[in-house]
Amino acid sequence: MIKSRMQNACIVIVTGFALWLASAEDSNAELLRTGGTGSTVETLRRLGVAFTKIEPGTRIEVVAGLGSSGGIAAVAAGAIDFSISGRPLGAADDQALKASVIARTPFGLASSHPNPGDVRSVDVADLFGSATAVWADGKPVRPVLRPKSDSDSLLLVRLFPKLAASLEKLRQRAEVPVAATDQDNATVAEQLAGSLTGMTLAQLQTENRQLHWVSVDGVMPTLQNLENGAYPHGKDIYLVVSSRATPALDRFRAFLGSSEGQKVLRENGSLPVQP
Amino acid sequence: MIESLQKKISSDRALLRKMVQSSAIVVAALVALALPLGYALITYHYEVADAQQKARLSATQVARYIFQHPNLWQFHSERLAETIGTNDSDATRNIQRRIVSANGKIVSARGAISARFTMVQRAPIVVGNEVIAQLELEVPVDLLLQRIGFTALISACLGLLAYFAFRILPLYALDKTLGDIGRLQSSIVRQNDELTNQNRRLLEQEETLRQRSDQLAGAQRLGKMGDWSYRLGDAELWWSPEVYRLLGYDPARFNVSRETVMSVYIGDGARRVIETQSDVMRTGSVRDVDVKVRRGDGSICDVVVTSQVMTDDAGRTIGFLGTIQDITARKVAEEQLEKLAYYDPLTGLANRALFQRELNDSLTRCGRTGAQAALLLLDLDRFKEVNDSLGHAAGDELLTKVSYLISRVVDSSHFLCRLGGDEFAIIMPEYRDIAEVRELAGAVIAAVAGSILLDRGEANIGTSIGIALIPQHGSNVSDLQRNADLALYRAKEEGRGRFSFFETGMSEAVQHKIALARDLRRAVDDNSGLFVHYQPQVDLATDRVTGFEALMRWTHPAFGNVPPSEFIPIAESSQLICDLGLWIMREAAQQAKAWLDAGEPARAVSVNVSAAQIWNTDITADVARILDEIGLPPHLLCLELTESMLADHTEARFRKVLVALKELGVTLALDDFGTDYSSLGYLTQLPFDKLKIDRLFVDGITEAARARKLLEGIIALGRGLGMTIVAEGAEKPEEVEILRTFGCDMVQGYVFARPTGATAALAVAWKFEGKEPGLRELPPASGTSLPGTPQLSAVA
Repeated sequence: MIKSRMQNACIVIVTGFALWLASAEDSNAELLRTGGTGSTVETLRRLGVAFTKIEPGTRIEVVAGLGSSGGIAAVAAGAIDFSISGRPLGAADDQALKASVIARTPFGLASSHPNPGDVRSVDVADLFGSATAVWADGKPVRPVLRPKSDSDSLLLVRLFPKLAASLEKLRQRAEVPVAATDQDNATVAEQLAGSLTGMTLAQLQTENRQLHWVSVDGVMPTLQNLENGAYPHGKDIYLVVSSRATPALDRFRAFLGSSEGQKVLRENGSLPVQP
Repeated sequence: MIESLQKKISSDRALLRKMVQSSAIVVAALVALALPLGYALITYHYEVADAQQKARLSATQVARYIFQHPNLWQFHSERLAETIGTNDSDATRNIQRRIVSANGKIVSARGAISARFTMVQRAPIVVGNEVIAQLELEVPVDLLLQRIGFTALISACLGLLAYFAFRILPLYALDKTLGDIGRLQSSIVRQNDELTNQNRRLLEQEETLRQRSDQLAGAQRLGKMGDWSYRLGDAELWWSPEVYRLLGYDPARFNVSRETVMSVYIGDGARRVIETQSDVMRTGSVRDVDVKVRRGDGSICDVVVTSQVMTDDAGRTIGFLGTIQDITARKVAEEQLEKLAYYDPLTGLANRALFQRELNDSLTRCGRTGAQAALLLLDLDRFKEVNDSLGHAAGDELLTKVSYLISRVVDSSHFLCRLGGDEFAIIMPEYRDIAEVRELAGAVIAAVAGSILLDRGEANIGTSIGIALIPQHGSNVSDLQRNADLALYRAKEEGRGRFSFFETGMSEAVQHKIALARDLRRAVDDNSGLFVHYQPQVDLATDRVTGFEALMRWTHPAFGNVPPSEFIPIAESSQLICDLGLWIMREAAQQAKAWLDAGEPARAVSVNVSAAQIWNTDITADVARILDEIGLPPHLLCLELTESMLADHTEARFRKVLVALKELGVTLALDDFGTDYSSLGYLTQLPFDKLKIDRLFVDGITEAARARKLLEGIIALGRGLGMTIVAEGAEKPEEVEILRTFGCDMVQGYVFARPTGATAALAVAWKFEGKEPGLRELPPASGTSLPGTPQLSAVA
């Protein structure tokens, strides 16, 4: 846990230092600040790099750790220019904001177990909720929780039947870790033997996590399976903007709709969706 | 005192009640206020501390998160909310955590709170030594207030309870205690009264005890008794005052140590007392011992010391106690009793009891040593006559003198005793020659023979002795006595004034007489075998039978007719003669009355009266009773008395009896006149009506002129004195004619009729009157035995 935090801290420091160097190298370049769901942080960064190559005068700064809700709030507050959210806007969000789906990435069950095998979607709830659940080789299943308000938590409950009750039961177990961010979630899952957690293909792929997919109803959460409909469980990625749109933002939105942008998305585990 | 105590108790009670009430209020207030206040303070402090701790913990967690995510951390509301609530379930705790930025804006909040009253605790969120925000923890205090309120309510109740408990219970206890004290006081008063009554009763009992002690002391003085005690191991005994008084010692001077007390006993008394007390100690019984003691004045007295063990409560012997009683008087009485038991009070000689013991000892001694002894039984001759004539006093005087005379001729080795009456005995403890026995017997006879001068006259008696040799004539006391008695009987039969040794064969004749005496007694008692014959007395002037002499006859069931000459002496020797005399008097009177009732002319019946009847019975009363019972006119009963009964008796008494009889109206006749101690003085001094001339003077008058002269003189004498002359023993008509010539009034003799039964006798009377026998049937007197054949035998 400490190690994970140190890694996160290092990442943050390095990222911050890189951004500082970039700003220092080109203090006149236009800056687009963004943040949001952690599952697409790396994808955002890669989109920013690709966008900056195309438009060198515009630089994308990704603020990590905001999460979907924090990102939406930051956009509303004008702290960032746009946010990438894992959920649509809610009633509690600033109604002046606008959200649109820009991509869809498979959302599956990942484990540190080298061969977690398959699980039926109706058994997912028991897999999370049962304290005696084991993998095929008999090793115990060790789930990792997310905050209740986290978009992934909400998504899991929505995707798998009876999982809400199982998660609520799971939350009563004090030994079960709760990961605040997507990165924390991936790190804890990697470090926990026999772990089980929900995760997007975009994050697992872009962050190169040492985790293995659990096929659901015999189908692996690949981009192809999601695209052809074999795998039904996906997470929509929203672009949240305020009414104070800037030209740079508009160009970036245009970039996302471009083949170049969609290519970057697809290469990073997400199916691009035309705005 | 009791009332002042009650007032004090009442005032103390009021003060105690105030104190208790004040204490109860204080305690109730403490309970009602201090408890909820303390509970509120403690609980509030705990809640504040808990909230502070939680707030600080959450602030630290938030600070770490912000430190890791510094960029736009204010927008990490969801994750911050998750961060500040990771340690507990705020929703369930109804706690709200808030992150408030420096400008007061709530960055993140977790948990909802629904409470009227809440408490907020804050903790700074410090990142890089800069307080960037505050973490507020708001917790509800409604429950706390409710608990405090509930606690206050409970405390109020407890306070109330405490108040009542501290007020009521002590007061209850106080009241109860005071009530108990009151009851105790009443009980004390009652007990005091009871004690007073008990004290009064004890005083009364003490007075009673003192009186009884005095009475006991008085009784001890009367009984000449005192008590004593001795505790084992003590140096001294304890004597009651009466013991000192009895023994004549001064309590102030006499030290009652064991040694001094033992020295009081005389002879072996001390040893016997110690032995008795040892026995008492061993057996636990009560024992007494008679001892002699020396009194303080040096005199000797007899005491009985009674001892018993003295025990403690556990029953262990701790000493002795007992009594000492002066029995001197009793001892003297016992000695006198012994004398009475073994000695004749009249003569001072040994009595029959001692005689038998001595005789038994002699018998034993002879059997053991082979010695020879002799038993001499003495019977005074004519003592009875002396006794009858001169009275018992003279008899006693004679016995005393005879005892003295005999004692003079026996030596100290001889045992002399009086067996009773005129019987004496001498035991000759040892003799070598039978001549010694003869010599002793002769000496005794000689000593008693001759005249013995008495206060009232002179007595001429003698003694007869029967001798039985020991052991030849008896192997036991009774045999020896019986054989000596037989020898005595023989000696008397042989003429008195003799001694006779027992010989074999004596017993049969004497036994026969003894049997006759026994059977005669039975005949009198059963009124069987005895009957009366009547001999007519013919009046020479009228030639008619004017009277009969009643003569006793006895038909023995085994021996047949026993002549009066045989059974009369037997009767006289055993005093049976009195009963016989009374019997024939009653029979004759009844017969005379029967004749009278049958219409016969009045004819007198004469009965003989013995001297024993005069001297040993109340003949006057007997005659009066018979006459009264039968209803016979007194003059028809004639009592015949002989001269001999006057020989040894005082004339005065004899005259007194005769006068008394005469006053009854009976006829008195002097029988056998001229045969014995004839005294012409009697004829003039005694109130005789008739003079019966013995046959001795009648017999031979037809042949001897001197006899006729004597008879004529006697008749003339009697007639001269106015007495009726009755001649006995006339057997010839010539004798009758001579008597008629001499002026004799009546004749009784065989010439007219022998004694015969009543019917035959009456027939004789009728014959004289010219009546034919059998013309009338006359009843015999009731109870009179009438033999079928009249026995015509004269009285001896």
